[in-house]
Amino acid sequence: MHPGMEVEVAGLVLRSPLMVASGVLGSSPSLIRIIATNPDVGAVVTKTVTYLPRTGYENPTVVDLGYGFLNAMGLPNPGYSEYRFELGSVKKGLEIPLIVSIGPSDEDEAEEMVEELDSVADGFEVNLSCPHVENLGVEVGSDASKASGIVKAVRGSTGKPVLAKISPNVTDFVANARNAVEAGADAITAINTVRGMAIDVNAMRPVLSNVYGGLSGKAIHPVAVRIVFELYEKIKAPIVGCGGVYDWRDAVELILAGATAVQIGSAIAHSQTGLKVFNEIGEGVRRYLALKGFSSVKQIIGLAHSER
Amino acid sequence: MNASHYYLEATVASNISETSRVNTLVLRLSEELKIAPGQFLMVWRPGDGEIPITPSLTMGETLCLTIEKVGFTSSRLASLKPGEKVFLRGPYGNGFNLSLPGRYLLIGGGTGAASLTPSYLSLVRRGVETLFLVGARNRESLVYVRRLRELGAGFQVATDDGSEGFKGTLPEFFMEVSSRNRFENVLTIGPERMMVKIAEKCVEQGVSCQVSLVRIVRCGLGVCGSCVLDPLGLRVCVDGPVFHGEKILGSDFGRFMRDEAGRRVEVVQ
Ligand SMILES: Cc1cc2nc3c(=O)[nH]c(=O)nc-3n(C[C@H](O)[C@H](O)[C@H](O)COP(=O)(O)OP(=O)(O)OC[C@H]3O[C@@H](n4cnc5c(N)ncnc54)[C@H](O)[C@@H]3O)c2cc1C
Ligand SMILES: Cc1cc2nc3c(=O)[nH]c(=O)nc-3n(C[C@H](O)[C@H](O)[C@H](O)COP(=O)(O)O)c2cc1C
Ligand code: FES
Repeated sequence: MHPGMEVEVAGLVLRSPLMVASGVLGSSPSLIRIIATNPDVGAVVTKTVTYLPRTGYENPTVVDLGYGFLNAMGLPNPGYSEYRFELGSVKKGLEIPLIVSIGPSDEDEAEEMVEELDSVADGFEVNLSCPHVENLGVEVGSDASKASGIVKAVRGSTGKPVLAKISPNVTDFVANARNAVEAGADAITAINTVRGMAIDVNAMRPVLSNVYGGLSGKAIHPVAVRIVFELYEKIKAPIVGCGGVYDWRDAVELILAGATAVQIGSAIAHSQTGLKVFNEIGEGVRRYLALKGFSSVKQIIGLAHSER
Repeated sequence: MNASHYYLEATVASNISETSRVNTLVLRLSEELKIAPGQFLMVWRPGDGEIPITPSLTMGETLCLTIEKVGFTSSRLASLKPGEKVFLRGPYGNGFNLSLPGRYLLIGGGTGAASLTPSYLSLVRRGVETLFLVGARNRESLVYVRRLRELGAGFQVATDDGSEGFKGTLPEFFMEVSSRNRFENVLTIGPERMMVKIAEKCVEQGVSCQVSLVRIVRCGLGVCGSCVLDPLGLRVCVDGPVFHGEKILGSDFGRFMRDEAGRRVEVVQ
């Protein structure tokens, strides 16, 4: 263990500031178990589960752009009830916090899901931001009263930390984040994917069956940095940064912008070394801290602000 | 593949009916595609969907796909007419390891006979001693045997009802053949229950066995997790589709898979 890597987000103590982002690598409990044995992983966020099972969209659902992925999976998941059962089998013996991502479409669903999932979760991330599913995600997130109702219902149904994941696809993301914090969210995860689209020049058609999708990866990193930076100045709650973290510099950049912890998604699939990307990034962050004379990663959170 | 576009364009040159359920598309590619035996492609028709297929022949700018009509997308693709287009991305996955020492026995059930053909040709071309067993329920369901004959391939047939060749299942035929001959390597593609039986026999006999698995492949890139083999956490699209039998026996191999919603369901075939 590396004591200098420990951070605390909304009451969750993480042995590393690096977390697995929701949805990447899907929902398989065995992958969660394998990932959790990596000492540079501080927490795992599950695939977003919804009230009812969803089969997701038809293929093509993902485009590899090299500098990122464009995806419109359509939130395929087995539904919260079956997922709770599967997570129960993983939870035992898991050394790191398991954050369950949920995508309820209204308050009643939120309440029922969280009550059921509470026994297998160490915390919740409310997905207010999936850019390509109607009635869920952004649709919910940009309707202030609906989003606030859902976060309140989650807050009211659990004593565990609640993160709200926000979208970059709105004009006023600060208002959305503030709204979620006022409704009871302990922390904000920023950002989900950026709306985008790809057309194949040979087929002369949109590639994704859903036409529109969400861009992740390297390409969105500056967008994430900017949003985390602004949120840090405007809201009090801790921020979990997410978007295009491929190496230690990207992670440090988000932390300097104000993130307490950092989520990693696309890089797991884009890196040649798979899950070892966490170790490469972890080592890089430790080297950086040592070089700059810091004993803990906590000391650099938001430092880009004070040095302006 | 050319990084400047997402998909490679291919035109159907001919469509050969193998059985009432299976067709082989002969495609002309807009540029050459390098693909190792056992790797797969994602095959897309706008509006009809996109599915993973292991090619049954690759020769320069000619590529064959042998497709069983099991649902919407496969039925649409299998019914394409000459001149129509499909779009390909890949190759994906690991492919078979054909450089292990010794003799090879290839066992293809259903469309697996077609998918194993590039491996067969590659081994024979290198002078490796290879025997190819293909099987189906009955004579009418045999896939790709005409093409194998055209290619001058030496192969033996098993049918469950004995309407052609050995009477019995492929695992039975395998037992029969391996009691008379010794092989150091077995490669198999076919119904999963069949592959499990063969893999178990191989482990008993200390023979190396490589199987090609089918799971729901969405991204093909290792990012979405829909193709995971539990409890090993292996992604079929990047860690596979080819696995060594002994590494996956005892897992969900042959027993459970995940459906499109990620629910754990029984393997039926
Ligand atoms: C690596 C690999 C190589 C394959 N090679 C061949 C081949 O050479 N020839 C061939 O006929 N078939 C092959 N398949 C299986 C083929 O991809 C499926 O039969 C096809 O996807 C079914 O799609 P559908 O829309 O017609 O059927 P659907 O109606 O969508 O589904 C019918 C059944 O097919 C399976 N299936 C559905 N979607 C997928 C998917 N995206 N990936 C995998 N399985 C799915 C499921 O078990 C489902 O119950 C291969 C699969 C994989 C993973
Ligand atoms: C294939 C894929 C599936 C995703 N599924 C989800 C999901 O279910 N819920 C969610 O909140 N975010 C989901 N995301 C978004 C990621 O969690 C993350 O916010 C985004 O990818 C940006 O981070 P990255 O650049 O490190 O990938 C998904 C991303 C990808 C690429
Ligand atoms: S199909 Fe997406 S990870 Fe394998």
